[in-house]
Amino acid sequence: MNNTMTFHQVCAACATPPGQSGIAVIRLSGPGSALAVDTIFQPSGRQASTVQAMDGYTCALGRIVNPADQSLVDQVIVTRYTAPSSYTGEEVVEISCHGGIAVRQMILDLLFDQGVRPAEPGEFTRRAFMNGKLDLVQAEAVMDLIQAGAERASRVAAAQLDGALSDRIRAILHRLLAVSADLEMILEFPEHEDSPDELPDLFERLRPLHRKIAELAASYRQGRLLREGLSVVIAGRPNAGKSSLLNALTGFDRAIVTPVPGTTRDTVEVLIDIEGLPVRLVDTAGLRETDDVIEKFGVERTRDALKNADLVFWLISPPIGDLAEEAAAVEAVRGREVIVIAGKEDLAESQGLLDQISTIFAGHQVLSFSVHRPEGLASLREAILACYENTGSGRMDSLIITSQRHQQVLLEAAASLEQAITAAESRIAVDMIASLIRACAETLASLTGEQISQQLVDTIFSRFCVGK
Amino acid sequence: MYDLAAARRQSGAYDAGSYEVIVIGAGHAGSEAALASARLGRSTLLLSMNLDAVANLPCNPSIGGTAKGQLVREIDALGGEMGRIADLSMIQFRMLNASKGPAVLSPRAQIDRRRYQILMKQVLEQQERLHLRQGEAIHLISEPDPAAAGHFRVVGVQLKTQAIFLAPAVIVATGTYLESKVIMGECQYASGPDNHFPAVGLSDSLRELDLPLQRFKTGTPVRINRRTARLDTLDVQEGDAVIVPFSFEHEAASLSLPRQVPCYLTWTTAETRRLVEQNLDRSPLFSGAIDGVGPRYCPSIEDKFVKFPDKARHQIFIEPTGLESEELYVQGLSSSMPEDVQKAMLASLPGMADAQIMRSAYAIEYDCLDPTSLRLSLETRQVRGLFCAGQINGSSGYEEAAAQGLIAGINAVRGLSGQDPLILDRSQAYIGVLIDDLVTKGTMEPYRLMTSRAEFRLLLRQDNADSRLTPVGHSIGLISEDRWQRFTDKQNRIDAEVQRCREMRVKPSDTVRRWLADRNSAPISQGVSLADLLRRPELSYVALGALDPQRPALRPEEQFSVEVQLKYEGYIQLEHQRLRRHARHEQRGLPPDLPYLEISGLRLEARQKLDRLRPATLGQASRISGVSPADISVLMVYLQAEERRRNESRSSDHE
Repeated sequence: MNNTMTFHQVCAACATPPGQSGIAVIRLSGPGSALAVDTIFQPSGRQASTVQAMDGYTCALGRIVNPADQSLVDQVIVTRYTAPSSYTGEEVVEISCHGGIAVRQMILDLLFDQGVRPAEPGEFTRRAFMNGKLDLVQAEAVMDLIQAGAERASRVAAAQLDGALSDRIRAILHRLLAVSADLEMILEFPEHEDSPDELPDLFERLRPLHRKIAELAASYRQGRLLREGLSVVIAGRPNAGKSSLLNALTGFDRAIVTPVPGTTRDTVEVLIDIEGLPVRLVDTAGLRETDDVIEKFGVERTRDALKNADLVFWLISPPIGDLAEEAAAVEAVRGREVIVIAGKEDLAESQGLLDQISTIFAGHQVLSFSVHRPEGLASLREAILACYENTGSGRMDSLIITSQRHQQVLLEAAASLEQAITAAESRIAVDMIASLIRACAETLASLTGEQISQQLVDTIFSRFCVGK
Repeated sequence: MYDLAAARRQSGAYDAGSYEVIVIGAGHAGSEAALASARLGRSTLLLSMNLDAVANLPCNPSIGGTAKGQLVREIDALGGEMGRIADLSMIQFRMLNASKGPAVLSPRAQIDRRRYQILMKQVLEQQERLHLRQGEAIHLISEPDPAAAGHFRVVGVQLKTQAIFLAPAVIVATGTYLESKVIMGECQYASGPDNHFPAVGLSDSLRELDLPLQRFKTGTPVRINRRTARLDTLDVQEGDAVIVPFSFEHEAASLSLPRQVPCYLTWTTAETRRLVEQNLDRSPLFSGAIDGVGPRYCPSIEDKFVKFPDKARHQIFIEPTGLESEELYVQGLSSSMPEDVQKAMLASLPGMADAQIMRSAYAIEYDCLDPTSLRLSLETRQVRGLFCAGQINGSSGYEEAAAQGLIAGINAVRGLSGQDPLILDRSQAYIGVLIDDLVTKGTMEPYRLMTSRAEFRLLLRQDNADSRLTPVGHSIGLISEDRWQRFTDKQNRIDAEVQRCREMRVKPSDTVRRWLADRNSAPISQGVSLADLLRRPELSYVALGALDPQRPALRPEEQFSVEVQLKYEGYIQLEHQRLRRHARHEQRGLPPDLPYLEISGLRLEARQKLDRLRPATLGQASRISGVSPADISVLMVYLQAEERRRNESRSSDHE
């Protein structure tokens, strides 16, 4: 069981405008905000204290760390506000993080994992008003804002809910209600001829439904890729030809965004479109220890980029240095898919190089590339598409959810159903199982706007001939 | 509007007396309402068209069952009467769903219907401040409400005899009697249940007060003479060995019956089906002669064959109706077919070839209120002091009626005292679910309570009805100090034992290992608490007594409560978590006079629905179809703005 209840009054959202920016601010509001941040924040420095222990209007430097594996997400500045001295009048924490879309999203995801919920449209403003932070004359503006925000959100959701997603969720919900009705029949009409003592095929009916819900929830990551782009980081030693690879991929595919400005030693990001899939290509500074201040900064940004990558192209070109050292550097990129690319294949040494690399990087896919033979790009593009397909539910044509709220709701529904299955396995009383299935159905129904009690009663009456 | 002057103009009109509360109808709703009112200190008149029909059970001779059994326990926990009388008049007891978990465990008793009526009538007769009187109310007397333009307030009732009784609060509990019509095939006539007179005139009186009526239908099966049925050829359904009383007051009394009367089970046959199909054109349900909307959960036998054509046969229970009667109730054969078809259908059942019909099956149509015209207190929004309870509100069932009667009685009195009404939450009681469903959503058919209508079923158990509601009943004034003391003692014993089970550790001795192994229970390698062992599905509190020599002596129901609290703790906690999330704004009150039509942030549909239904709380508002979560947010902002405006004008007044 997670901390859902501890943080159920805390909501969070990005407080700065969407899109790429230098710095982004994630705001949390509600009692428990500081505690929620403490679950993912490691303060730096000697006098480090928890966010909870910080005074209002003070900042702290530190790192956001994934509590699951202690991996570093970003270096951030946390600002603490205590109630009532904050924008909303409640306890508020603001996390200033680096402005990349991926970083921002990862931090929000970690918070949601802790049980914090996404802020509804206009929620910060509403809370501010409710706590007396806004002028009375603003009340109507606030009400209009809420309704407009909800309508916008529901238009977005409706665009999706009208189509395949709502069909899919309804189909799951109705199969769940059928199971539920069969259980309820047993419980409501125990003396009826059609009421067995238990449902023998309960597991067989619940498990596939759980799988479907979980798959749908998992497709969110794929949906996010669709919306924000798959991040492909090109890495390797300096002068390995990374910029050439970037240019080749950019030239071949229409660039839809101009390169983000930066020093030549910083990372460069280009958004391209591969068969409808937005891909963010990130060219990095060479990864090696250096004392040069600017280059060091570039190296740090490279590490960040690697951490947030969906796919890494590790470029190796002649002149070949210490391949073993390079292999160690590749192994250091944990948890990301790395494809090794033998570059400048037109060079005479290249044929031997390819064999050599394939041996040393036996655990990785190895491709080759040359600026002079652009047709080789096709295999790189395929590798990028394959990476996308392997994310989430794994099929290109499968349904994808893109809204954070939908993901949260589906995860919650899946959790309830999992508890129901566990309960059924332990042979606990049927009413306990029925209650968990109902919790799942209610959660799903919050997406489709259906009323469970009525539906359930209707389902029972349509399936069974009951009565006096 | 029919005012006092109009009433006095009737020839023969006379002032017959003044009361604080008048209850029209002495069925299950009316009896509870009148008792609650009188017990809370108000002079109360209870009118019944026929004193031999008080607390009648004109349909099934049983009380309780799934959801309904829980309701009876709740009525009793609040200080109502139904549970006590059911205990004293039962002739068979069964605890339904014994193996399916504590939340759906439901007591049900076969009732001696005459004895039930006699006992309830006597309780009414013996109640101080209560005047039980035969008489038919045909007019509600009212006047414009000086406090609310366009609204009325009730001042009394006028009987068919033109007698005028005055009271500032009137509770209408007319059951299925309003303009009722009995239907058996082509034969139809104005009649209440059991061939009692219908109530004629009161419907018009309700309509004149702008109260919207609808027409419902229900039905009842044939009664036969036991002597003429071959019961020896049928499967027998006996009562349970252990009787769990409905009333918490009878817990220590260890109720026992000299003998329990069994029920019997038979089935429809191919011949029954043939008879239905052959005579469908004579069924008023299908010929269009019945306009009333019937309940889906109580279909007539012709409905069953038509709607479920693939089902080969339907089960029929034969139930006793009393110790001093040979009449048997044929559950499952409800019908509005003509009598000759009924007779043939009955004869087509195994064991019933020669069965004599004593009373025919019939459908009955009646007027009832659209319950969305009520507040959650069961007072009508349109007429101050006028309350409605029971089947007039679109419900069905004795237990549903009694529950509403109790609440209406309590709230009529609280209204007179200027106190806030008693409104039970959906997570607090089935009574709350029942009334909120009716009032907030309305109903298109006679409404029957089901456990699946409750969002938080694990919390609404029959075993904890007293811990949920007896404190409420006590604070209202329906629970005696003596009973309160017994209640608190019981809760203390349960709490102490739950705590002891958490702390008491069982060590992995050879005896314990063997004992566990004998029960196919996993071995323990170190000391574990009794509570931990109790969580294992295969172990019960009673069984664990073998490993727990120091346990205190508790009554069976106390042991059961301890077991439920510990064994299902994790699940009950999950339910509490759901509740907390659900209840964020549930209790936030909404002023009755909010100008919904003018709140600009609300969508048009929400404005209109809220304006019509005037919900009491944000929680109730959120359950109205057509009101979105964003509308609720807008309402919250609006309420806050209003509050601040009031505060600001108040502080400027002081300057």
